[in-house]
Amino acid sequence: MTNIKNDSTESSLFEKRKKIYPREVHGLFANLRILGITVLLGIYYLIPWFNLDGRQMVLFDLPERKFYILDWVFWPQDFIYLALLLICAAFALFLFTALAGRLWCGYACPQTVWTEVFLWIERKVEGSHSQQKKLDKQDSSFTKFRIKATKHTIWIVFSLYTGFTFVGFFTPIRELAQNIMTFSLGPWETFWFLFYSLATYGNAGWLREQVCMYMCPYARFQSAMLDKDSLVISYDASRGEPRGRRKRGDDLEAKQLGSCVDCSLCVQVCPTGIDIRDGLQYECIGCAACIDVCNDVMDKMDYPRGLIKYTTENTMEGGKTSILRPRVIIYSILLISILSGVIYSIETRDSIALNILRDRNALYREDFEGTISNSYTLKVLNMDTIDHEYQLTATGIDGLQSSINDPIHVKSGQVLEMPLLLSADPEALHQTSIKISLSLQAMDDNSITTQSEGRFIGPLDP
Amino acid sequence: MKLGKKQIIIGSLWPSFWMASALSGIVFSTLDPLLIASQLGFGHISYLGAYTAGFFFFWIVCAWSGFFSIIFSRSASNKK
Repeated sequence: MTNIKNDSTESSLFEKRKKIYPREVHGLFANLRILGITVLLGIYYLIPWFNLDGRQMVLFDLPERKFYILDWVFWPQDFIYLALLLICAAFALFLFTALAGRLWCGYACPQTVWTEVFLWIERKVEGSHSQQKKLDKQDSSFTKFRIKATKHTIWIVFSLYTGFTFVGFFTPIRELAQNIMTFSLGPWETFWFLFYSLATYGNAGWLREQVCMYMCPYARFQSAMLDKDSLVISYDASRGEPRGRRKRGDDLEAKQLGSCVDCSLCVQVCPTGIDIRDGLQYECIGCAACIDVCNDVMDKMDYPRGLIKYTTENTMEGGKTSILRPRVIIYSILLISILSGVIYSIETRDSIALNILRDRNALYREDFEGTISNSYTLKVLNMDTIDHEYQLTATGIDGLQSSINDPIHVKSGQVLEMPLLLSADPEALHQTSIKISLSLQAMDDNSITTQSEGRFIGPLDP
Repeated sequence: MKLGKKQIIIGSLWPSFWMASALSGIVFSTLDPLLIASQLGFGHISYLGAYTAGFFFFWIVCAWSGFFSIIFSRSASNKK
């Protein structure tokens, strides 16, 4: 279904890029995008500053190897949840693409969001798109230099703040701010701070639509998720053609004209510089700027709106659009079941882990009274948000004695390592190697319990 | 299939960047990077440093793989 202007775009791949000066646009979809940008950037820039229970609300603490998200603490062994959440994100993307095309690209993709901010700064400094074009054509002068320098300075400051916020998700942001103020930022923090700033500046300031066209994998495979019932931005050629200039109130039939006044505004506002009237193209990021601007023109001409609109291929061909199609249903079911499974499993996951390691140096020891003992290293991990005392019980051999009889106190988030000595009467050992079981039970909460198995080694000939 | 220099560079560096991110997540959630670093004789590196070095190591390895995929996807007859 994609009508790709193959030759011209493919051969232009990595040719010197012509800068696109998208014209500013106002309207319903532009407002929706501004709303999306405000909410998303608001979340990005503000979240690291919020604290919860005396710690940063969202913090990916690499040194501690713990991820804090709201009330949840994720440990390295919880990596599976991250993987599952990414799978959920992928299914959500498939679902929204099948339903409404490239919603993600037009309103929520970081590339779009930051590019819009950079474009906004560019417009504030350099003026409208035609003023920008004029400025770029001018010979170098002090005024030109001053304007360009101002723009790049604002861009760089904004990028640096973006990079700072990014590192603030990994290093407590208040500490980070202090370190920057006192020029005592660690080398790696400095590196990532500059790396992310540079990426923002380069992607949103310079590369812009080229990222979507040449670097984005989603742009390449999204057409596989679209079908004839997906919402796409489309020009109604049957109504618009033949296009042509006219005066307001001209008789279209007499002039043999369609609704398109050929004002080329739809091309001027397009951030990827395409002509939507040529059909659906892979460069189209679904930003709906052309819809907004065309509706304005239709209003001025007293024509009905919607010459360019969100529609489906089926509707365009005069058929009916069905929303509940197999792929939509399947994506929804998968998404809901994985997501609820993840949340259920996070909420009910064990808040304790017990590891038992046999010491390798000696198989067993025999003391004066003939008792056989094995030594182990015990690792107790308290993943709960509060401290606990645990009672350890060792079973598996009759009369098995443990060196740890007192409750073990483990702080919240602590990994406690301690030696453990288990002893047994040789009479009770029927085999050389016997499976034993250690269980740990929180004293204050019956539901917190775990078990781990190990081996007890005795003499070869018991 | 003729490929430009920039296409080869982006084709090897860009997908490998994502793969390196994924690999860092998977590998470092199971292995403590400081343990590996101390095995290799870099005992004094910080956590963030170990993660960064690991990430770049994965990136370079994946980029090599991507680079060779691109080179081998060109038929030998294209050689001039």
